[in-house]
Amino acid sequence: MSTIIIAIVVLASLAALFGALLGFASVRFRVEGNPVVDQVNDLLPQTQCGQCGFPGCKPYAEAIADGEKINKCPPGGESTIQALADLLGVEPEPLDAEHGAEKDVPMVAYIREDECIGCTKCIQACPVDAILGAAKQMHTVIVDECTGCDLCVEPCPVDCIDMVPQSTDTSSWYWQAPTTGVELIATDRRSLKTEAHA
Amino acid sequence: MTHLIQLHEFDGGIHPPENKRQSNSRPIRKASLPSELVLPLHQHIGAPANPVVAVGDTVLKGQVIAEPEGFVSAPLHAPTSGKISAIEARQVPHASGLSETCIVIEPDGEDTWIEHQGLCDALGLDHCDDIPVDKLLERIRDCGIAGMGGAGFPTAVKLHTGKHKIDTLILNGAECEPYITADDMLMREHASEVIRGAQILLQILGAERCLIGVEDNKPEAIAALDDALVQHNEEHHIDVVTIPTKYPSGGEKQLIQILTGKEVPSGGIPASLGIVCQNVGTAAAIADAVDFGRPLISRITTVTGDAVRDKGNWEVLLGTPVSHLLSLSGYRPAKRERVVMGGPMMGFALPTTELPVVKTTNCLLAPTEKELPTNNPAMACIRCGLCAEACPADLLPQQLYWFSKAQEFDKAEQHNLFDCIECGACSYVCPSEIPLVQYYRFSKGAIREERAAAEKAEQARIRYEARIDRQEREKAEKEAKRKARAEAAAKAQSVKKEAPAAKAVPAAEPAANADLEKLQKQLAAAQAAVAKTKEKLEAAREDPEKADKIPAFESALAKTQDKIKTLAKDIAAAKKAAKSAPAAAGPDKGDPNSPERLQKKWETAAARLETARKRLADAEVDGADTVDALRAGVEKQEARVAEAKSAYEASLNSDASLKTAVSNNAGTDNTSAETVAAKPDAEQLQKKLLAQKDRVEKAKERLEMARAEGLDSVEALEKALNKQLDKLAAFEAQASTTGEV
Repeated sequence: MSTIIIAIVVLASLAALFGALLGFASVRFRVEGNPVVDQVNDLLPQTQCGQCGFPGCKPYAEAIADGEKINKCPPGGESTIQALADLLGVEPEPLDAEHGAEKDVPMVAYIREDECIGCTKCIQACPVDAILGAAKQMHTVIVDECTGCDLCVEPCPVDCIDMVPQSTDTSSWYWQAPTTGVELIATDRRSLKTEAHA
Repeated sequence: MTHLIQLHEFDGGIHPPENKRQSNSRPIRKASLPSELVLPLHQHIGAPANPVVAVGDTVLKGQVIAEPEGFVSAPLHAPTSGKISAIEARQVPHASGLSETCIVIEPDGEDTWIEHQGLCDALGLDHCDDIPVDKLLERIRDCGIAGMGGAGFPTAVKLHTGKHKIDTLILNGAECEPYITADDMLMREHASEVIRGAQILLQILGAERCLIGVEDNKPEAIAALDDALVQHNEEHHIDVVTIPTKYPSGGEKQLIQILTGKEVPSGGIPASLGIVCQNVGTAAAIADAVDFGRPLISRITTVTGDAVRDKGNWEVLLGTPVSHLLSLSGYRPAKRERVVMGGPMMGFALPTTELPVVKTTNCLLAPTEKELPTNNPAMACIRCGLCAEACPADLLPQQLYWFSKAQEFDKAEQHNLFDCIECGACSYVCPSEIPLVQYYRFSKGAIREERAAAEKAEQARIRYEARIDRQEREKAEKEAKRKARAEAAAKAQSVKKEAPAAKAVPAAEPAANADLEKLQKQLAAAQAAVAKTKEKLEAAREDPEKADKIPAFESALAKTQDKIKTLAKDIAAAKKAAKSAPAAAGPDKGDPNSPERLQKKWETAAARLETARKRLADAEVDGADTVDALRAGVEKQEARVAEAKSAYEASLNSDASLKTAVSNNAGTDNTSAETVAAKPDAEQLQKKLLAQKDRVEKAKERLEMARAEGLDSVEALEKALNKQLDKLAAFEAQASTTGEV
């Protein structure tokens, strides 16, 4: 009888102890906000372009956490969709064409400064404050900060903003993967070599 | 060699045909001046230099033409005297074949040096061993010295070892790559400079010993270095170590492992092991810079390969076009032949020969197709594992290949892709001829690009959030300002309202209203006070200790009740006044329907009619076109006059009738007023009666309590009760009489 009582007492006290421990941990290490939102936000390209229909990447991340579709981000493209699918454990879907197509090359805004009238409309449109200028002064794009989101193009009353592909220099260039043609077996090799010589 | 050095071995490595004999059999020759020198601003690792000359400027040999931009950067000097003919984008010797800004110098042929002197003389020191370390570093930086082995890392930056204590300096004279003999020839012919450079480096680093690692296929160079050591009396600090020939023993990490047995940790730098490694060419350049003040404007370059007749080493000015150097060497280009900058293992094919020699160009290899065949098409990987055996960095090239091919970059990174030195040993041994290194380069580039994109995204996120915060803050500020303005306006309005109320009679109404409100407020306050005092009184009655306070409470209560009564009266008066105010304002000049106004209107209308008629007459006389319009106008005017007249007459009539009505009603009014007045009197009496009954009740209560407690106030209370009873009786009598009426 006493063994049963001891067992019950021990188990009850253990339960109380761990309960208290867990309760303390849940208060002490409480996570503010939804951590999924931050994880999703980290995967989004942060162009803040609004092509997904939300006013920025964070709002879209919040919407995804609430069950929004993950295929609405053209700047992120297939790789972002794949990463989101992996994170959330859902099936990756092809990019929703309604929101635009994925661009091959990263773009950057360029203001033709001779034509700029200094209306500041593009400055107000830029979600990352990457345009510099003042009223009735010429504006220019800070290339390093531009996310290529396109949002400045439409408000320009004189159409002096172009989206140009980001230029590569020797420091950003890198080798491309070798073109993997048909991988040959030894007997095919000889004929191909003679062809090359001819 | 005076010390016995225990040599170690690194895993892997290969033994490709050396092919060094072709170019190291004759002394270094000096290349002639080309027609123009093209100097890219970015010949080193780090930020490109910033030009300090303009097109058209004349420069002297050794003059600074571009300053370093930031810490990790190097300046650029004019290799000869001449004129700056252009500063423009030109194709640079880089695997990408892209263009970068270059300074183009047109030599004047004089080759006039700018004034320069050794650091010792410049500082005016007696002993050249006493030069302060910071002066030495400054000189090395100012002379634009960057690693001459191939990477081109700014030497002064590499010598800033920070917190690491350096005990060993290693000079890399291994030159393991086939064909290249530039360092070999340099050590043979400029051994003294190499040793002098080692001395300077030892002084800067505060290191105890220096090891010069040279592969055993360069006996002449080793002999020359040993001689130089004796000359400089440095046998006790500096050791020339002969190492076995194996590719890639000249890799920094591999050479360190051979000479010291220590392995540089993944992602670490040799300085963390107390070791600094420099190329022998760099050491010679440092000696030139410190002892003679000559900046890095030329280098030794091997020109070799079966497509050139005259193989050998050239001392060549930086910026010299490759084509110039090749033509000096008797280059006979055949079909489909190419020129490789660097060696056959790590070099890259140049897209054109119109590219300049830069600080890192150690070799120009012009092989024939037979000598160095182009890659065969790759075959499938058979997982033979030869690459893993050959890898000097102990990686798994096969795995890295699969991951790179499948673009599984995170897995490639987990397999330490970034420890790959791109030596090409794996590709060399691969029986399937897979261009493995190209895959690794691609993966590395893609990962770097991904990292840069992630960094940029993070930056964009921060900027976006900062912008949102700022917008919210601005909105809040605006809202606060708007509120403050609205409050100020309301205040001003109320001040305006009060001011005329004090003075003017016409505005009596709002003033009366304000008074009414005030009175009502006072009433509410008084009622609240009554309630409170009553509560207190109750409490006092229950509590015998506070009994002495009861009378005080009672008097206070009575006072406030009185106040309430007067207030109620005032309110009633104010209400009456407010009602009468608009009525009083009634018959006034402001009334548009007053007979006076209507009369005036009629008169003006009549006058207008007169003028209109006159105009019509004039127009008829003149026969003007406007006659019709004027006639219509006159008709209209006539109608208006008639209207005004009738309105005036009507108003006169109504006025008269109003007056008579008032006088007629006056008599009846008086009688009815009496009856009307009688009614409220009766009501009032009823109310008074009830109130009086209350009072009597209260007085009775008090009397009883006083009796029960045996207080002195019993008599007084009795008297008061009697009085109240009398009053009650009187009221009752009055009420009965009025009720009968």
